[in-house]
Amino acid sequence: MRKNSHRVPAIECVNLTKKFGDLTAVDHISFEVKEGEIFGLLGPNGAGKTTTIRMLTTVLPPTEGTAIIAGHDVVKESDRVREKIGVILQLPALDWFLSVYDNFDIYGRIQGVPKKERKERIDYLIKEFGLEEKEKTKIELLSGGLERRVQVARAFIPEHEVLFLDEPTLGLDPQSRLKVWDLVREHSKDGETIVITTHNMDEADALCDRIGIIDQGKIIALDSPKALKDRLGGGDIIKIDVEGDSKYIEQEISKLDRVRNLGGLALQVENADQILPDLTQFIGSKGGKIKNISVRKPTLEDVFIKLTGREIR
Amino acid sequence: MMKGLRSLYYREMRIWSRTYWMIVLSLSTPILYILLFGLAMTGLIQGIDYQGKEIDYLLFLLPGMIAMGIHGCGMNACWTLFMDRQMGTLEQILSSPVTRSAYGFGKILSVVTQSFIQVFLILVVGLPLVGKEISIANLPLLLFSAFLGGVCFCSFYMILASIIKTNDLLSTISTLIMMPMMFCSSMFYPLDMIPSTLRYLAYANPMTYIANTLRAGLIGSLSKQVSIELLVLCAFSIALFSASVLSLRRIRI
Ligand SMILES: Nc1ncnc2c1ncn2[C@@H]1O[C@H](COP(=O)(O)OP(=O)(O)OP(=O)(O)O)[C@@H](O)[C@H]1O
Ligand SMILES: [Mg+2]
Repeated sequence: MRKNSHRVPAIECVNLTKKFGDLTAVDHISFEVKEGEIFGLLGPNGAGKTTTIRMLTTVLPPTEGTAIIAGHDVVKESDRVREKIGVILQLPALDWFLSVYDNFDIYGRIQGVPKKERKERIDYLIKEFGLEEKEKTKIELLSGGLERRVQVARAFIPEHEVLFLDEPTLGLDPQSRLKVWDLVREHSKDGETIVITTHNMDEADALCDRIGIIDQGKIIALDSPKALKDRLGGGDIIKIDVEGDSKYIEQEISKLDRVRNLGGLALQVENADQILPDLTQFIGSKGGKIKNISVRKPTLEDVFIKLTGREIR
Repeated sequence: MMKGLRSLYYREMRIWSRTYWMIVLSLSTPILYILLFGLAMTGLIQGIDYQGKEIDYLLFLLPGMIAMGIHGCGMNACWTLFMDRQMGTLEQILSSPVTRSAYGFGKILSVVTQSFIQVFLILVVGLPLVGKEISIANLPLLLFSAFLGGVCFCSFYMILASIIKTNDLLSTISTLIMMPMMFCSSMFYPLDMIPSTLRYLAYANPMTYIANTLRAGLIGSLSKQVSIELLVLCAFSIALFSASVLSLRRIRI
């Protein structure tokens, strides 16, 4: 049984589905997230990540299926659900003509954070995200990354039971990105459940306890990052770029038995050092001109490519 | 049901006061009408019969222009709602503990506040122009009418903005609506001066009742006819307000 099976699930989705006319944006997905867990939704553009979050945050009614957040149904008890959640949207969602401080303050008010606590948290977060000098600046005068900082930072003013982050680190510099990771870990330690969507494989790998890989509205794999990578069976990945059309070379390489092509000449091998000389010679003999070779350990990206046959971006 | 109303009202007013140039701008249209249109028309129209008295055209026009100012405040709600949806702030609010009704109420209260400020400012500029003082006894009627006007217009434009999602369609339609709203009403002229077809349209237009009750509050008195008009305006406000609550309940981000 699961390690944390004594805990109640913070999120429980069963056959959650959303159709927009003919398009099925989210297709019968089911998953559970445990209390205090950091859960990642990973998938390419248009996979249905934002639509899933919109249903879980009660702003979009599901076409089919149910979702329970912290013990409450997102349709029947949406008021109760909204009291327990927070969300960072993919859209800016800031008040353009108001100052940075006002945006923090109004967010805190709307979330119902009492005055004294609100002020303390805002001062703390503004300092943490290096926004002191911009406190009085209107949002419209900020750079895109600073805007995102404001939007992300203010989500940490209140305490939630479940916090949804839709690509929170998109557009952030490395330092702010790490800050977000720290905060996410901190809040998860305090028992907050975090759902995070991202295209960034490293982020998902570093941060998430478990990851659901979502493609064309379906969850095609769900496990811990390590278990997902182990599915590839270890070894090394050799990525080769050749000049011109690689189709023919790919065809030829698929005939070798010590090499497994994950797609797009990302080759999985048992030991890169041993096979590399033979491999370059083989490609040369088939008329391929190598532009670039890189060797690395398997990543979630390889898992994704293997599952879908496509690169994530 | 109204959870978060205070915060949302605070937000609306904060945004409005931060764009102070909008206050000046929204004031300038009614004042310009009085200065340009009003003065030009006084040459054509000698005097106007109102509640049995003959009054100056400028004085007749002034309450109409207050109605126009209130309309402008209501129209702000159209654009703030549109922007809230466009920027994602609406989705942010809808996923927070506040209720959808509180969001609508916050907008209406802020429009009513803006309307009161607008009434005050137009009076400050307009009364010296027409050489008239306002009697304190009529003030409650004036403010009550301004309140109902704010509720009417704000509700109406919230319904519009919650149905229409695209920028160009919304601006085309709201410009289109503005013409009949202004000219098929008693804003610029007494209704017995206009052709009967237009007059009937004017009776279906809340602007008529807003202008008439404001006029009674400013220069007339609460006659039997004005009381009926006030009741009709109440009915308009309640109907539009209920419809706006319904449309906010259904609004999709
Ligand atoms: N309101 C809507 N009406 C119609 N189609 C929609 C709507 N919202 C989303 N879609 C479609 O549903 C699919 C899933 O969209 P969604 O925004 O959930 O993707 P995503 O995984 O968040 O992508 P991204 O990584 O680009 O943010 C897309 O094909 C999108 O075009
Ligand atoms: Mg998205």
